[in-house]
Amino acid sequence: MKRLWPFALLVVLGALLFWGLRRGDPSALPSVLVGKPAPDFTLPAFAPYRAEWGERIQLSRYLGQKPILVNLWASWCVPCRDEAPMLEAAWRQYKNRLLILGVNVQDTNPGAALGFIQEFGLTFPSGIDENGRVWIDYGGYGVPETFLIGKDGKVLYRHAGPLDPATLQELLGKVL
Amino acid sequence: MTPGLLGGFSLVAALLFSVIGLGLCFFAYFQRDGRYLEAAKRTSGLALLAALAAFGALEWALLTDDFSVQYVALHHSSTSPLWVKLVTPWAALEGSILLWATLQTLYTWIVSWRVHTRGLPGGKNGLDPYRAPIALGVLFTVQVFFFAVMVFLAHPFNAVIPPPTEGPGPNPLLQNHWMMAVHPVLMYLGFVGFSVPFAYAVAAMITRRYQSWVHETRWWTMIAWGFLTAGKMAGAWWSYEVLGWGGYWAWDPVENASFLPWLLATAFLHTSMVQERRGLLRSWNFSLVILTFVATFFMTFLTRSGVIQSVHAFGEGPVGPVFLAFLLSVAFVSFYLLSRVSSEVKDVGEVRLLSREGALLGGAILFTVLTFVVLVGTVWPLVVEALNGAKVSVGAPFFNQMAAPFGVFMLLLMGIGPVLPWRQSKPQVIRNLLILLAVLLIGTLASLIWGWTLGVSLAVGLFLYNLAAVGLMVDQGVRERARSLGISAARALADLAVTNKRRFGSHIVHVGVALGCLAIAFSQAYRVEAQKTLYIGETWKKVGLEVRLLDLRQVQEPNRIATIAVVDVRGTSRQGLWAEGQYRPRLNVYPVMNQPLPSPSVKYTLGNDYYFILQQFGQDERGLWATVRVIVTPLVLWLWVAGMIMVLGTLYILWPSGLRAPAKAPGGATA
Repeated sequence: MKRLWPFALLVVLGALLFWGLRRGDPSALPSVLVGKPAPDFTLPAFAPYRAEWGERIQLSRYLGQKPILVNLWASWCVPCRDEAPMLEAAWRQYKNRLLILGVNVQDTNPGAALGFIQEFGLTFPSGIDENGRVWIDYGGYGVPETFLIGKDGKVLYRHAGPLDPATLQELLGKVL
Repeated sequence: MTPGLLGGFSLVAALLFSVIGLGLCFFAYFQRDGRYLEAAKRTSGLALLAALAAFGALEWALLTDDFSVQYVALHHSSTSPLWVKLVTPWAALEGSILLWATLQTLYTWIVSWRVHTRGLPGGKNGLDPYRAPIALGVLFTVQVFFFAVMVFLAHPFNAVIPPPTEGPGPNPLLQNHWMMAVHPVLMYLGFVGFSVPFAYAVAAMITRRYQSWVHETRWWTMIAWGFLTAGKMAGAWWSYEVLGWGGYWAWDPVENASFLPWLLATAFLHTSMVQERRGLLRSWNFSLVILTFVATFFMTFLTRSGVIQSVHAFGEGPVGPVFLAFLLSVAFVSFYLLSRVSSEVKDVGEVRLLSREGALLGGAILFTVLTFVVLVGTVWPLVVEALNGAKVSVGAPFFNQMAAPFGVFMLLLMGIGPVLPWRQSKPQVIRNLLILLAVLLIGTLASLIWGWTLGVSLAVGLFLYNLAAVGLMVDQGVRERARSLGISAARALADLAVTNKRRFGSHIVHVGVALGCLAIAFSQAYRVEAQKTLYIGETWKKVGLEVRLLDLRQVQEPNRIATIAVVDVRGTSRQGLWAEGQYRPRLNVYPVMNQPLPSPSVKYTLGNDYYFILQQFGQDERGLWATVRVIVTPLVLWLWVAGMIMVLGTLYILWPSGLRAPAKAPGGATA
């Protein structure tokens, strides 16, 4: 019997750690914003959007009309490149029921960001988080990051890291 | 040929060679044929070449800014300085595994030199053909694991199509200080080192030759321990210089996890001496070497799986479950092998409490208990969450409270252990013990009267006690030798230092440990800090210093924007004079990081460290302002000195001595 205790200990430790792995992503900390009104922001819009959306995009102008998907991105961010076509497709499909709003954060220069928009032909509006205010207000963790704001103007969900098609569908399913 | 192609190809080659090597070891073991073993030896060299090619390909990709390689696209930036580019391979998961695997192939290859393919080993520490296939096979298995993980799960050379034109660069925390270039490499060199004693131990358990492996792998254990110690010190130094809170150890889960192999290895280092000398504690040695090896994987698992939140948890990859499965299988198989022979490895002699082996065993028990405490503290948040779903964290106070008494007992044992003779204590030893006890008491009491806290006084007492112990032993050795050979004391000392390097080296290491504990006690107890917002030209008097903010300037560097506060410091007290000078703490902003990283400006002096941090800066109607924090911590410098002494002591033991080999030749055949 005495010989068995190291094995028993190993089994317990192993079970605990496997559970720890399976319990999901501990860094996907639920945002404190969930359930609270979305913090407002006003961003200078990128040139391609100025005609339709104005010089500056203010979040509160659109709150309460449609659900809003706020996507924080940067031109140097590799996963953002996977996300961009997906978001664009969702935008084209659900344009009249949903607003997708891009926020360019922590970018090296506006030229690179504009290049990114043109490369993927993004038609949903994007603005620049000039002084990092949005990043701070929303408790940014790392780009890409996505916040879903309900029709009532409250944050429903926060997704840190890249979205995959399934997650995006699931998110949209909650509000559409 | 592109770096991606070369890398991918070399990885597959390395995996193949490792699999072939493992297969050859199987044949060599079951067919008892030296030719297979000979081929396995050669294969280890081929695997090393393939691994080096893969590693070289990664460096190639980084140096030529080849963003078509995913690792490069994710962790590299063309604007990084050259040294950052060179060290980027170990800035993230895939590259780290590649580095680890490459070092493993290197160590396997070195072990293969010792393998004798026919007959009995001729040279010192040779591996005979009975054990060699097993030992080499274990090492090949580890290699197969690493290369398979890379080829199938975490491929460093995955392609990005279309390639981006620029990447975010490595984690800014790693770019912020050159120490990051060495800390991970030293750690890996240490971790990998323990695979060799482990492999020998497995061979020993299977072939039922329980005695010689500890001696044969002593060199490996020492070298791995030395690297791990150096690595931990470099890590502590890095955190002191980069994290900007003026501390060097935070009991962070990953720090703890990397502490586990070090604690276990330290225990093993000491119990293995008992086996070498007296043939005792064999099951201790097997268990400790298994646990040390498993702990190195446990540490990687914690770092890479994201099971527990930590500053070190560098993102989760798919490798967590695989590492866990591997470490658990290794532990199961090894403990099964041990339980199979447990009745045979039982100790036949006894260990007396008041003897060298008693003290060594006591030390091993202490280290093992502390390992357990640290392990429980580290996984406790997970246990609680599993049981009732609550999120808790175990903070530094718990660990400090547990570690302090442990430190006291360890320092006590460390002092008397080497003074005690093997087997049983002799009457003249009592006199030495009384002297040591007196030093301890007087040192502690004098410090208390001087006004230091109890903990610090005890640390001072224990430090003096350890110095006295080393002094006593050296003094006695020198006297005996001088008297018996009729030579001068200086000559005798020089002789002893050369002929008994192991003992001398251990004295050096022990002095380092005692000094380190003293530094920790003082720096924990007498740390002072203060913070104030200053406008340019404003002065601030605090902690014996007159701090004046001279300027605040912004510098654009290729990979970051730095704000530098220029602070002039004058001393207002006698001690403060040491601090005088200009300090330039900075805040570095990296485009990929959501918050600026402080880069403190530190002046190391023999007494206090003066540590300035720029917390915040801005501008209002009164002008530019900066919030400056100053931390004055005593004796921190000595912690780094202690680390260096420990490493130097280890090197001293390892240094090949030209004098010793011929003198040992008559008895060498039995070694």
